[in-house]
Amino acid sequence: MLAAALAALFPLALSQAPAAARTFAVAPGSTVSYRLVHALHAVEGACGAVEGRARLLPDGGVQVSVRARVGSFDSGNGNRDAHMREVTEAARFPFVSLKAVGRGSASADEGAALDLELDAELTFHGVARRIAIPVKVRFESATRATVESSFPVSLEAHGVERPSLLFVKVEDRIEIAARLVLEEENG
Amino acid sequence: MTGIVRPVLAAALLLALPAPAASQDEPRPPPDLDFELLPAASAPPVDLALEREVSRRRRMLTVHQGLGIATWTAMTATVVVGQLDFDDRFRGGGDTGKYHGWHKGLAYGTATLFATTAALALLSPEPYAKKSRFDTATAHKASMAVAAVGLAAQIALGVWARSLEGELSERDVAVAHQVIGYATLGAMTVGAVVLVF
Repeated sequence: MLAAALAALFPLALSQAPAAARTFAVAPGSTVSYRLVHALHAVEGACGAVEGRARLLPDGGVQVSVRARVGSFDSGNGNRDAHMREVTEAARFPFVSLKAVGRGSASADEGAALDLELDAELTFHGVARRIAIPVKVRFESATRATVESSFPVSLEAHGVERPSLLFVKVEDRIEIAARLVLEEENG
Repeated sequence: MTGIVRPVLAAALLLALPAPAASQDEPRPPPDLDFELLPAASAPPVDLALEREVSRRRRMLTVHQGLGIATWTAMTATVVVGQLDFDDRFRGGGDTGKYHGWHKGLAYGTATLFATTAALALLSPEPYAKKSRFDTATAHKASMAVAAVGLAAQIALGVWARSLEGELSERDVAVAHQVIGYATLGAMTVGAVVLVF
């Protein structure tokens, strides 16, 4: 009886054994975009210059760090992009960055899909705010995954003066969407 | 043997048991973000000259928007009163001249507003470089360039038509003035509307 109990517990003990963390880097083709709503129209801007890393820890923990240059977001309108750089003070605060942790699974097999909620800190316009971010991860192979996420951000919570057109300000809430391709480093 | 097994079992069960759920009212503890996965980005030096330019640009373009709305309103009024003036003089209105002074005043007022509005945009600093390409902002500028040419032509044609007072060609020049007036208002409207796309 005792031997059976020990045998049943042995795999559990093995799962606690230390293993190496795995680090994935944000690969080309990744984008972060924003959607901003004004009473007269909606504006979308995308940025392909994203850098970041995600680390899968042996205990199932996940650490994420991603950042993008504020000045590299492109809405298809040069004037509007310049206006965005002005209100976000892109010269003083050149990056929008996100650090997050979560718990998922250390398994990264081809076809595996994970839904995670990351506990994150978003630093935008020099102001850090804590947010929860839902993330969908799909492993295309053991060393490559795509990550999709979208979440709202308040401009005023980050001290950004809402831009206006014809004296009407845009809505405070903007929607951030990320589609990141992750490739394992040394994978 | 059982003396060793008991603590091992207890420890293993503790590991296997899920952690107690946090209370709904309890604030979440801050996440442990004490890790670095990216090289540190150095903070850029504060560029006060650039920030002053941004501030000046914002002020100038805010006034530009206000004067732009005023210019479009004044242009609309000029066209409406101009049509009344035309009807009064050439379409059986009795040639009383009662609208002419209003039309002339509105026309010069519109031209002044337009020039001031354009100057604010053209003279505003550009602290952040802009990609040059065709977008709604360039469509706005192109429409306003057409409107500027139209306004200049309007002033010339209006003065010319008046100088031909009593001659047969006065009406032809006045019709050209009328048509270009509507076209100018159209260009101005397109230039404003295009900004919301």
